[in-house]
Amino acid sequence: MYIEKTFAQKFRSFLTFAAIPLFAFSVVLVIPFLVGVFLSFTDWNGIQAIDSFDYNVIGLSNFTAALSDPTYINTLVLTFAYVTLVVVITNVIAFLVAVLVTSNLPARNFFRAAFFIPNLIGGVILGFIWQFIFSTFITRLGDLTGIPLFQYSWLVETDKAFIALVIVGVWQLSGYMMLIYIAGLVGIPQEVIEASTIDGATTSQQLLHIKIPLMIQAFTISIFLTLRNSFMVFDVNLSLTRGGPFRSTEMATLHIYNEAFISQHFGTAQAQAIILFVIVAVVATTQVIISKRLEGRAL
Amino acid sequence: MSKNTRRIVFVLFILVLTLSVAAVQAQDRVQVTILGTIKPEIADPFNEAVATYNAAQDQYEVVVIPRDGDPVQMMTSLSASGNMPTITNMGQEFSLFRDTLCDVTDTTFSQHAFPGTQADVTIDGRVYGMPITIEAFGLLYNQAVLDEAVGGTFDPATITTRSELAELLAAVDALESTEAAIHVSGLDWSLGAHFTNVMFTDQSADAAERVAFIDALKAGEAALVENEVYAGWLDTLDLLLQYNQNAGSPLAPTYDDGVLALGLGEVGFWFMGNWALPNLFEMNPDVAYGILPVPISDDPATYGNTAISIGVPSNLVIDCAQSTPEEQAGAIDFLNWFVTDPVGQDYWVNRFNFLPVYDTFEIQPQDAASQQILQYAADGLSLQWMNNLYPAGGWQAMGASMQKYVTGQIDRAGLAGELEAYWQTVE
Amino acid sequence: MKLKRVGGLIAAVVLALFYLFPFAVVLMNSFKGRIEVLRDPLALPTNLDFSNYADAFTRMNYGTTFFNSLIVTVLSIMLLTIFPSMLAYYLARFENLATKVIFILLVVSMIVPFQALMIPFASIYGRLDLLNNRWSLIFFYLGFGVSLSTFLYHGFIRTIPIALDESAAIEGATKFQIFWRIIFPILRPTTATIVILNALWIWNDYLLPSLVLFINDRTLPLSTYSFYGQYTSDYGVAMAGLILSITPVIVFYLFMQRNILKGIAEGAVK
Repeated sequence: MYIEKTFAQKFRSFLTFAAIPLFAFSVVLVIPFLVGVFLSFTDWNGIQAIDSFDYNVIGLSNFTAALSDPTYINTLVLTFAYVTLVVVITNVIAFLVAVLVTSNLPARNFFRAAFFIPNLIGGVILGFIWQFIFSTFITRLGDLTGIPLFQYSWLVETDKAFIALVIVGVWQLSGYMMLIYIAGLVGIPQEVIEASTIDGATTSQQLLHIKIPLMIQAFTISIFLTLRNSFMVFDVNLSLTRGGPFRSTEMATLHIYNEAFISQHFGTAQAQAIILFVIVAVVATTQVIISKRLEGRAL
Repeated sequence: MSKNTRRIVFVLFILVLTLSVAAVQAQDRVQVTILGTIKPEIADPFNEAVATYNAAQDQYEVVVIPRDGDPVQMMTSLSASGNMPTITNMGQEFSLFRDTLCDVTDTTFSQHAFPGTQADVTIDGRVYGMPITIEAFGLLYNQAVLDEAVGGTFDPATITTRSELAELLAAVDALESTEAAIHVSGLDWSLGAHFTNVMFTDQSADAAERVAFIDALKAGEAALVENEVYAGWLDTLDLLLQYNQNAGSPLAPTYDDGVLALGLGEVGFWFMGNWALPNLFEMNPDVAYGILPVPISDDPATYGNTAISIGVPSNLVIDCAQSTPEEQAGAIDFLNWFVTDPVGQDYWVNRFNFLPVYDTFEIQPQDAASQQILQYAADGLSLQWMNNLYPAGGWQAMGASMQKYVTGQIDRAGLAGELEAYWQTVE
Repeated sequence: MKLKRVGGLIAAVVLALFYLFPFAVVLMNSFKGRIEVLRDPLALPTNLDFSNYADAFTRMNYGTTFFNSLIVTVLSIMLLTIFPSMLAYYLARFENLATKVIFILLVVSMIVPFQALMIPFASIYGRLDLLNNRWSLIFFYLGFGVSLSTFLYHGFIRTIPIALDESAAIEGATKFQIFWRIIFPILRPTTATIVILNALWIWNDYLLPSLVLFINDRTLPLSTYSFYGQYTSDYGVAMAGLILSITPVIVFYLFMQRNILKGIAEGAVK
């Protein structure tokens, strides 16, 4: 750790290392977000120029409207269910796959590529592909095989449509997380593993007692990213189910989008986006704090 | 650098140069922007029409802003960023943007529009938009299948009540060649915007009373379960569902499945509108199609039993808040071109498949179903598109409730409750 | 032991099939005509007809949009390697209250829903007349991408012993030199990962370019989506379009995969 004595020294380091990225970060992300927060306290209609000030500050009424919207509460509950399932399943699969493709598996580069490929494609396109599969493809399969599970489109029944969303979420995210776990597994010093092999540890003992504690960092990052991505799920939700059938698979961000652009309640939508932000912030911060504690213990 | 690389770099350089020169030259003309190609389905002919128009005169250059994504989201972000296109095709968004739109009352296209077609875009006697077409929805039918079912030439005038329709459905169902009598699309927009329209528009022959019915719903003073039209409308829906091709999973079929089913004669009927005609002709060009009303009672005299819902789906509007007067003049010139120039008219009718609502048109659609719709309109047998009065988000909300009813999640009382609850949230 | 290996192989094959089959479905149907797809999406194409591809290629304006995507992606990932790595180094090595706050701000910013700032963003930059060109877009990518890249770099820089920096400092190197000569080379596996992740994000991104590039400099995802929107019912052509738009990324990944693996291996040795 560097100790910098004078202000001039501090300022020079800041200019060299941090000024440009922080400038971009502030003007591109922070300022529009703060403007968005401000607008959530006004009756801005969504198309007025922001610098026109043709709108009025109306206090908290967008927030009361946001919270008294029963659909929004339902979408939040649904989002929590979705996040829980996707975070758990994705990380379990990603970790196991990472262990698999770092073992002495034949053609492991092929498998790494195969598991990663879903990440190569943007969310909306993924949604289109899977929509075709869950509706057109699956019903044809049902016709041919007579399996009742495939008789009808999965996207038109509440439970199956939700499961479809979870499947696609896991399918899309797990390759990305696999990469992070691979980096973690490969980053463990070879000597440690060798030492434990000499001590007679089995493969699963090595995994549980040596590898996992040494790669907690990878778990922190991976769980944080899955949390964030599944809370923010939007593209796939939009292009796969559009919230249907009868708005039963509408997640929080899609609801916000619909509230703004379909119902044209911009203030309410803006307020709902900020409430969602606060919720995710609380959940993610809790997760990061817990993981950092675990890291500290492991090191 | 190898010889080849150098060659490629050289070619790229020339290409960039030419493109920039072309871009500079284009600046001489006034650029008129339009969001999207009116409808995505007519993208190819529309782009062709734009190129033809641009080549036909040297004052204006029309540029299409590609519409990739939700149209309202694009309009909102373009407007908020000061980049509003000169011309936009608007449906329900009209109410959000109306203060920013140009008064087009005195333009050629507006002066020649059929009476009544501009009602949705008229405020205090001034007109703010150009209707693109009239569309009609009802029970689309496959003439060949119905001919077979009645053993002769099917005459649409023979169906004026629900029981007559029921007999016909049974006859179509009994045919060897068909899978079922009707294809009902479970799409939220079809059920929520179109099928619900029948219930609202059949309430009364008097326009003011129809609006009063909606106002009563908003005030929580109308009880649907006691409403005769509501009951009759659902009786008819139940009848259609009884003969539905996808009774096992009513929400499963896509729009294309409907095209396939009616076009190939798997069914005799499809609840849809004339916008499907180009798709149907593509699927099966040898068949004639027609359209039937949705009868809601056994009395031929009931209002709506012999009429189909005809309306203007959307209007082209010109932005007055961010566009220059030259751009606005260019936009008017471009829209007039479709109405007055024979080349423009040909695109409008034969390539976009629009039913022209302007008295300047020499060219008229030739297929049976389009002529039938124009005949319904001429005979005054058209029902109002009450869905133009639904608030933003209205058809989505009602569509969701309709989907629940169609899949048996809720019954009549449940549907009535949800529809009433929805309208009471509307200010 | 051998049994375990076979079991692992079988599991890997089954999973790989699940991960890859959607692409097979798309590829298969990209050769079919519209009605052929609707009637039987499972059937193999009757002949290898590339007309769908030719069609999609011209309609998507593939050459130009590919070139635009390439410029935006390459320049953005360069910026998103240089600046976040330096920022992460600064935040990890110059720990004080200010850097802690900055780091927390960066992490928190990652969970801002894009919907919350989308319209204000378009409004601010539209009124400054900075939309509609690719150079602004590249700058916006720096702004939006800085937090995740910095976060990932930060995690790995903290595991590098400070003694490395200190010995270089004793030899008289400036902080800037220490970072670029000593630390940055060690970060290579992380850099490879970050380059890949950013390249995929930017190459595929749709929402941001759709706000920024509505007429000029349009990128591949934009043309894919407006194209897909027009032809959703003409599945054959639409799927040929999908294949055309994902092929460059797959080629890029297969090419880069060696590099990441090498990078990871080298990183592990050091």
